[in-house]
Amino acid sequence: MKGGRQAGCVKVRVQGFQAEELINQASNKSINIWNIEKQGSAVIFSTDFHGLKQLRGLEKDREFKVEILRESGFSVWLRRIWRRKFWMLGFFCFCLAIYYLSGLVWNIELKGADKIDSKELVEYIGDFGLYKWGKVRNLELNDIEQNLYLKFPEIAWVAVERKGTKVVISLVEKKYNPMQFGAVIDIVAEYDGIIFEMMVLKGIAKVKPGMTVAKGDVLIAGYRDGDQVVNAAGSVKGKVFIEGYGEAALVEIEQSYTGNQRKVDILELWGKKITLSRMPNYEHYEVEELPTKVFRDCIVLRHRLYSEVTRRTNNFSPGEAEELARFRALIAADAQLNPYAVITNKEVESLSEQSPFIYRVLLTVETDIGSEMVQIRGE
Amino acid sequence: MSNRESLSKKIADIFDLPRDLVANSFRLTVVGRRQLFVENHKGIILYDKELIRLKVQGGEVRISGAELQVRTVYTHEIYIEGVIKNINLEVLQ
Repeated sequence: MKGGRQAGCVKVRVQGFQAEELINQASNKSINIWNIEKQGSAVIFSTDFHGLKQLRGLEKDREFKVEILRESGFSVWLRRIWRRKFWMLGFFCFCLAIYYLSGLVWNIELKGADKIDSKELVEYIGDFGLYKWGKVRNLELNDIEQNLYLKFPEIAWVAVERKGTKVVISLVEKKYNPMQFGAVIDIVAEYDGIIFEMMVLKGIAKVKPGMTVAKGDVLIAGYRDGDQVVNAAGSVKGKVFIEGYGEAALVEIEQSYTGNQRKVDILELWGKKITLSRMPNYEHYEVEELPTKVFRDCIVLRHRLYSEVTRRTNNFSPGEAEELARFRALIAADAQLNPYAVITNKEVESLSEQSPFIYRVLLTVETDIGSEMVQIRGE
Repeated sequence: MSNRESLSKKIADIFDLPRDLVANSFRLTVVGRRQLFVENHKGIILYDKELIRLKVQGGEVRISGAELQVRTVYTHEIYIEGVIKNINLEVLQ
């Protein structure tokens, strides 16, 4: 019965039939009728198409009139659609257009190309049929990946993925390793300082104990001896002065993330912004914005990531704030030290007597100040 | 009670079966004051907004109320809706 109703049902008015007789006939002949109403001498009710056919059969035997008031259901809808040929044609063309357009490359996105020439790469993949508005269904993505490895030796890893009508080429370039290309290594100063001890194992000493050096100065130089590369090796110890600054106020606002995040998409059509998703109801938040161009500068889809933050106000007494500023200055100075440095002197100086309190810490340390670096000066 | 009915009753008792199934008795299901479901009726005698009379085995059922309407008719099943005030079962001798 239910299937019959879904296929289609009709609301009819029957004239010349008593309601009681009609219900009894329907019950005996298994005609499903519902919503039966008496309207004067007529009876209005709903039935399915099968029931209507049976009623038409009864019409021949008895003299009564069946008038269809309303038709509904899937079969009725299909019949109506069938009558509208142009609508059908338009719908068919629309489906065809969607199918055709979904088979084209709308956009090629290249990720991770830094040193590799993007234009050259895009031109190269065009030879394999991967170009804008080209057919996406016949692409052999694995072949393109393999050919990219061969064509561009700088590529360490590449993946060509199809995401709907967009093709994403993600690649990782090889990191330049100077040792592989026979570059010369120097030992250069990592800090500003005064050299007090030096030991040269290989290379040419460019400084001597007692000299003041600046960060980046060459201490021991490597060199080339014909085809032979001699890299600098040795130890250079120096006295280094390290400064650190710390600041603290009587009232400070501490901010921390709650972990709640919501992505909001905003469509920008010729400068007019339309928010596509609900805005978060965070009291305090930070926003990270990533624009994505869809069509030149006219249509832009923006993704905004709202991260909820909580803000806490910390109140300090002047003594506490001073102590905090001193502590922060020490931490700032200590962060610049290497773990083997020996602190020989520590000076703490107050730069501000009122909020915000500022402290400066000057550390005098003895440490190894040389670090290996690829020679960038000429031969 | 007719011989057939008494025989059906005996069979139902022997096999421990529901009597309405074996004897083809009518069944009334009332949901609140607004819905009535009648199974195994023998036909409708009168259909009016205030009164509906249904023929059942061995008598008739009179449903009186207001705004009564036969919502659905299936084979031997009828579903009535409206403000049901009284359901009367009359046994024909």
